[in-house]
Amino acid sequence: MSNSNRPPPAEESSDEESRTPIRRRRHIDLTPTNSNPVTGLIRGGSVRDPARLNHLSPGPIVHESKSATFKEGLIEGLDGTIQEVAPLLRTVSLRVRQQVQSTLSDPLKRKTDRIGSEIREGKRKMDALSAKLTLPKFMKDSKRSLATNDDAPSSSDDESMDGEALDQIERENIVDMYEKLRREKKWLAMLKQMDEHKPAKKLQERVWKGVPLKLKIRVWPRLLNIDRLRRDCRDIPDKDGKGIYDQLKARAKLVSRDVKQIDLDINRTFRNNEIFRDRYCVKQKSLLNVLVAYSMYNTEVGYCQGMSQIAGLFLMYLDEEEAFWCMHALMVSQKHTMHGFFVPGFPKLARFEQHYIKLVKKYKSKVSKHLDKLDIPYIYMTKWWFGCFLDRVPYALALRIWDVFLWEGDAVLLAMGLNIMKMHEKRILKCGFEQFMELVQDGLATNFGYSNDVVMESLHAILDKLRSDKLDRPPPPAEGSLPEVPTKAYGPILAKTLDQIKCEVAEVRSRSSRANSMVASRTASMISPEAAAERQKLKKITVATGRTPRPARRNNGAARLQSESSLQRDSRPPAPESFNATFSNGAPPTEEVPFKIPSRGSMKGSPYEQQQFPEAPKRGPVRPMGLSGKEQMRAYSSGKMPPAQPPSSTSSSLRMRPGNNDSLKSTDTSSRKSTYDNVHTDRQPSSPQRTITVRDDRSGKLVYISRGGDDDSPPGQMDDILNYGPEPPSVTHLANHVTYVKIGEDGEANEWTTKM
Amino acid sequence: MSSAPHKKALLKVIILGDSGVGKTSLMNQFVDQRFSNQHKVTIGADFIMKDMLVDGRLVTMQIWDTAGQERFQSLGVAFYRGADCCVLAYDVTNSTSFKNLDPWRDEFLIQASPRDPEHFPFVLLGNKVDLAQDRAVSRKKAEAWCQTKTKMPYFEVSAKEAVNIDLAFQTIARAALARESQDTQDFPDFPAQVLLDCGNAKSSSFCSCQ
Repeated sequence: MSNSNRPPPAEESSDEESRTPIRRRRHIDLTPTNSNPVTGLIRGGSVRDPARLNHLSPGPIVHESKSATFKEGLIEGLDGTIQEVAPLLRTVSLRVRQQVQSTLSDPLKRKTDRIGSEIREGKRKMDALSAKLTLPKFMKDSKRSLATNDDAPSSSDDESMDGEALDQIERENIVDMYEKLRREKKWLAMLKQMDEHKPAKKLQERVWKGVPLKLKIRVWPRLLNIDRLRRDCRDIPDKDGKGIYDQLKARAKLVSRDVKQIDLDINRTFRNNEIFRDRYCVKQKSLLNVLVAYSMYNTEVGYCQGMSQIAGLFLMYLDEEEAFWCMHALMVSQKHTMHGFFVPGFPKLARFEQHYIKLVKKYKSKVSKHLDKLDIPYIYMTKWWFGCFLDRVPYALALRIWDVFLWEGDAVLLAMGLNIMKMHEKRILKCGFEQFMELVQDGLATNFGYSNDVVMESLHAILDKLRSDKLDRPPPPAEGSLPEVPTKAYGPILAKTLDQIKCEVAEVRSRSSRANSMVASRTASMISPEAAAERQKLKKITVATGRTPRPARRNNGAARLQSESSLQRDSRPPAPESFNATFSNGAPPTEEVPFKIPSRGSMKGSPYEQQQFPEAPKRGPVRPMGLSGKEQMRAYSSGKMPPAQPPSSTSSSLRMRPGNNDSLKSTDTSSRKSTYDNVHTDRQPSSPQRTITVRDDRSGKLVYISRGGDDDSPPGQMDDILNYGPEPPSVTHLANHVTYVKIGEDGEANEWTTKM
Repeated sequence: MSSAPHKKALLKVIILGDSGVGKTSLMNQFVDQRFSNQHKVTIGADFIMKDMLVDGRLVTMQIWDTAGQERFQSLGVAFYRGADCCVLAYDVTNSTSFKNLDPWRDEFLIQASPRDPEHFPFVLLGNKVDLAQDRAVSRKKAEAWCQTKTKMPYFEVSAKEAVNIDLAFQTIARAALARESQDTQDFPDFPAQVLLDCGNAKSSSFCSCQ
């Protein structure tokens, strides 16, 4: 096929429509889309470059499979000159084709063959389509001439074997269909066997061959063993027939603080797929349901970017409830423990990166050296691990990897990463920094360069090798590192009935509005308008959320960082953002939302911001469902947090504060950090020494604190309004081994920063 | 320009800001001159490069597009280092994203730990100005904020309608270029908190004396 026949405008638009945005392809010469690929090839010389060949394919396919309107455009653009040029083009493309064929490596040959057959297939379809249309006579005539012109440059074989080839393709298709059916039947038989609890010997082998699309709905949940998981989690329908998922879903929508982030991400998840395309369509709704429910179930993870594509993938084949449980299985099952990837601090990510680097060094030392030389940051792997190669390899291949991933576990991630380095070794060794990043981010996702079966075979071999070398899993987490499995009870919100939650939401809402009006009237007369506004905001937060607003400095980036070293973690999912109670105008428009997303007010003012969830055992094995309903209720009432502050007391919230150190330190959800509650200093923080020592009760670590350099900013304008009073220092461990310590000194909040 | 024989400059730029402010879209508009509503969630960070002419000099922009969710901030250590300019982006229809600029900036300075952080070049972009009716942060407010941050350049842009994008990135490139030529050894080889660093600095200065 030659693109040269195409009228340029039509070509442009076809490219625009047919691709999701592909990042720049400047340096690897992947730009034949704008030029003629045939001449591009001639100019480029090196036809061995798979990337070059890969990009030959989309153009013609798109061209062929275009609808009738496109074809009409073609017909219109057709004139006599093209007919004159056609024979010349034919010769040129023939030569090029021969040259290409002679230099291709095997997988590429297969690839071009496949593309050829696809083109023929597309042409057949287009012919069938245009046959259905009743075209005016002159257009029919020109169509015929177009057809001959189109055929001409495509290939030499086409002329002689057009009919034969079509016949062959049809035969192959028929055989394929029978093969597919045969495989499905085998799977069905095997599933039946498994239902009867007979061992399925061939399961492993068949998973590696790929689970048929139609049967993923039955096989995936089974591979993840979610029946057992649901039993362990005591997912027993209540009197209304609702299981944990349904109960969670109803509650979570009222109170999950991840709704906003989830909603943002849904809009960017599989949007190139029809079923997810329309805003607020059925599947997007399902996605919201699953993610919101999960954020309230596994509160340590909450919602993390990357989870949306996993849930989206499940929702393509499974229903909501199954997707939810599959998600949970991936997070907590021993084989997968994706919890460790997504939980703040990403403890498993670092471990995987390190191990992967080690593997590349051991098995592909040349690549390893090359990448080291280029100084490639490890960040490119994040999406590999977080999404198990979704969006990093073509979707069909990703599905095959997922089949295996669900069955074999996270060793597949490492093996596939290594597999990429192995299969593309030559290409990578030629890459510069930019080309490598391009390859990993977009190149492989656009075209992997090998057929899926070949990739899977290679992956299997590598996995086996890793297993025999006992390197298929990274070394266990180091002592004292962040836990990679949940340590808290699941779904604490289930302890409350829906009515209770609704009541509390309503109460908090009315309380905050009452408080606002009182504060406004009291303060307006006393201070300058600006300060009054500031104070009003502060009190609004305090009253509405039961949280103490912090001086401006504490709301800095450092404080927002996730701790990497703390053991005691906030039991709640991270707050979407800080101080947003003061910015109700920043709320997303909700009027067009067909399902109920709690408004900012209800989310912010929800009782879950005032109360900590019951403390589950800090360490120890994963607790399936944690406490029973009653136990959880008790835990709620004996929770450390003070009860919600009395509605009327706008000033009492201020009065209470000095003595109420708990709320000062641990209610700080505005920043995603963990705070050590029981910290005491070895010295009284009274004199402005440069260094002090603090012992952390929980970990027993000594923290040396020195006066920081960048903290000379005044404690914040709010301090003159809020008298903090003496309080024990609160210590926050941040990533990057920076620890922030806040120490109250005679009512003045000083900040210290330390470097450990 | 007379400075033609300059070697091609490689400028590293990091773009930061809250989730959903349009960092990826800004980048796509700048690099591919197109806006798509079908881009993906950025997980970890993505990388793009683009060549451009700045004052007659060819420069290569190495742009890192980051994930906006806060918990991903901790991964910045891996690639902030060596940045020549940091672009802060917020959404003019979302005042929270404006409010969070301070934390993003502070966090960048902590993790990248450039020498002379006071004068590290930042550029502020207020995205989505095409949604004028939903505007929540006034231009004045943003400009006032920039004034307090050593006169950070500010642009009101729209990735969707390609408003001001080129101008903004020209400025970004210029700022980065100024930074890069001023001091190539901007970043210490080791994070500041590693004690070794002091020793290193000393020994290197010792060497240079010789």
